[in-house]
Amino acid sequence: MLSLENFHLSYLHATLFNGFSLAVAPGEFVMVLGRNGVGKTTLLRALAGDFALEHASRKDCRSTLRLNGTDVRQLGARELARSRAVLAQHTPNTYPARVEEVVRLGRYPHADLTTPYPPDLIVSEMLAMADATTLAKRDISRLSGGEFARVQFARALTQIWLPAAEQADSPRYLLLDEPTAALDIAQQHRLFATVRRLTREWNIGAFAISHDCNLVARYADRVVMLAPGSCLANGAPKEVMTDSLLEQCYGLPMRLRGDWAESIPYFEPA
Amino acid sequence: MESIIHPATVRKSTARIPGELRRLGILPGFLLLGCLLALAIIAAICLGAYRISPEAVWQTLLGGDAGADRSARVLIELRLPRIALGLLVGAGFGAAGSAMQALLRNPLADPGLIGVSSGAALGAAIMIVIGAPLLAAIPAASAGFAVLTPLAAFAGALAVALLVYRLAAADGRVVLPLLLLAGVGANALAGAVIGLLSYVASDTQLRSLTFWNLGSLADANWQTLGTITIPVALGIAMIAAHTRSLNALQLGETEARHLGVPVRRVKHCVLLAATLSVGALVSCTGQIGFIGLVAPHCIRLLFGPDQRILLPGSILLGALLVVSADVAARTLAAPTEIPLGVLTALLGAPFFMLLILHSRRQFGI
Repeated sequence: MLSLENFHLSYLHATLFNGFSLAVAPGEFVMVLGRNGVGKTTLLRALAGDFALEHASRKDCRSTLRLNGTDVRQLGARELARSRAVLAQHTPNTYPARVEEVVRLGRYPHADLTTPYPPDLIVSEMLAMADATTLAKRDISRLSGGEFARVQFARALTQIWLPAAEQADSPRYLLLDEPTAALDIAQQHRLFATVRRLTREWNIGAFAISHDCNLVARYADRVVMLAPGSCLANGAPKEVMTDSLLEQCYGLPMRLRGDWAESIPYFEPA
Repeated sequence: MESIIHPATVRKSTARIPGELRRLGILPGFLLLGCLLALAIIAAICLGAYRISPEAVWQTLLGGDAGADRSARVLIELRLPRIALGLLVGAGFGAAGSAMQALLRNPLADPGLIGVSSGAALGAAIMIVIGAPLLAAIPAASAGFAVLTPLAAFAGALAVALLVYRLAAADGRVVLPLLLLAGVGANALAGAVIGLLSYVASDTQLRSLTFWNLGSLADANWQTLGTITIPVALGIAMIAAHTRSLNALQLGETEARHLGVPVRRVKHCVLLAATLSVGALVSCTGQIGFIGLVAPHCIRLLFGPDQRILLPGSILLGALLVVSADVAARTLAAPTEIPLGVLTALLGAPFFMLLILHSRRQFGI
């Protein structure tokens, strides 16, 4: 369980979060919805440990983050990085480097561990999982936005990869900040389907931000709807993705087409 | 519902992939650099105002009648310390440059950026123009003047680097773009004060000031070498200990932190290492430009940005550039000497412009 407890954050005299708590369990895919600027990325950063580890001395920011029951402050950044990968929304440009070299950096926190699994093999498997095998030898600085996003996804997977035998005993977590923003529709579905599949197969907990209600309805196990300073709803898509809650969430009348009982419904502005 | 997604078919092919990033082989590349460096060292031993034949060098090194022989004295007291200093300068600047460019994720970053070089020149200038006349009243102090100037230069390097650091850091967190700006500001200020000091300086003081501004290996001797080898080696070792972290930092600071890189410690370590090694070097050679910029840049173009290759490569190429530039400095206008700093900039700057011309495509033109 990756659990954020009692998260307080004030920013420029405005309180963004006040006593917010959220937990992501291994095996589940949690997705968050909310309007621009409501604090989705801030919440993701809190789950990543940015506030608990880096800004511990700040008065306007308090939180406790536990990874599988242990306070991350006792674990430290490296130990945390072995069990938690983050895919950020904006990644700065890098020097020209091969894609496979960049993905291999995901093994950084594992470097002092001896495993019989060669990193190159892990890298090529994760590239395949992110549908980026053909990019392996390419120059990272010359990829398109969508290709770059898939490479970053492969790097995040590389970071929390474990041999199958060890997966059950060590739950890990994947935090994704709008991973599909630059992807085409096929890749959007492929990525979230992969994440959902891995939550089951790898025993990982996933947390993703998305603006697409239809993707969320299809792939999430649990939806968190954020409103300024509070949580509007937290539950299975079927229960919380209603016209009225979505309207409260976005301030726009929304209509659900179809029926949860028959298939996945889709949402459109009313 | 996942069944609608088909896994992509993995294409396997031995043919060259379009857009593949190709590089020079590391082993042949390093062998070539090593051979060139060996040639440069041999040239540096033999060439100069006083020529020494390779056989004479061989005999001296074998321990022949060393004390009386003139070429042996030239070799041991002048040439060898000078070559050793050149190697140290090249290695120190190359290492510091590669680490600074990785840390700032900017190919234009130079170790001089954090103010160490201009700080050293400023410290030396203050000592020469203001300190020396004051100390002249004390006979004991004037005797130690030769030692005091490098000391003042080192103090100046540390002071200006500390000022830049203070401007760019809060609570131990260094904001790198701010570091760049603070460096530009501090360098401009140091340059202005040096300019002011040279304006009021006497003719003799002006000559010593020129040495500091232009840079030279002429002051090399075994004693100073012994002193500065410690901070330079320490600096290089500190950088070498962080190559993997510097690689991860290429992804960006936040991403590196999420990978478990102790970002704060790496930043402090690299800044301290660059200040120590470059500060120690410039306080006995004066300002030598472009090595810390050009060497890592070329190695990155040839072998890619992996810091584990970039660091030794930059050390080798830096040493090669400084040793060969010094041979040119001593021989081109013999028996007088062209200041080394002028020559490195004179060779380095056009070369750098060529590199820019070559990489314009990256910037979209």
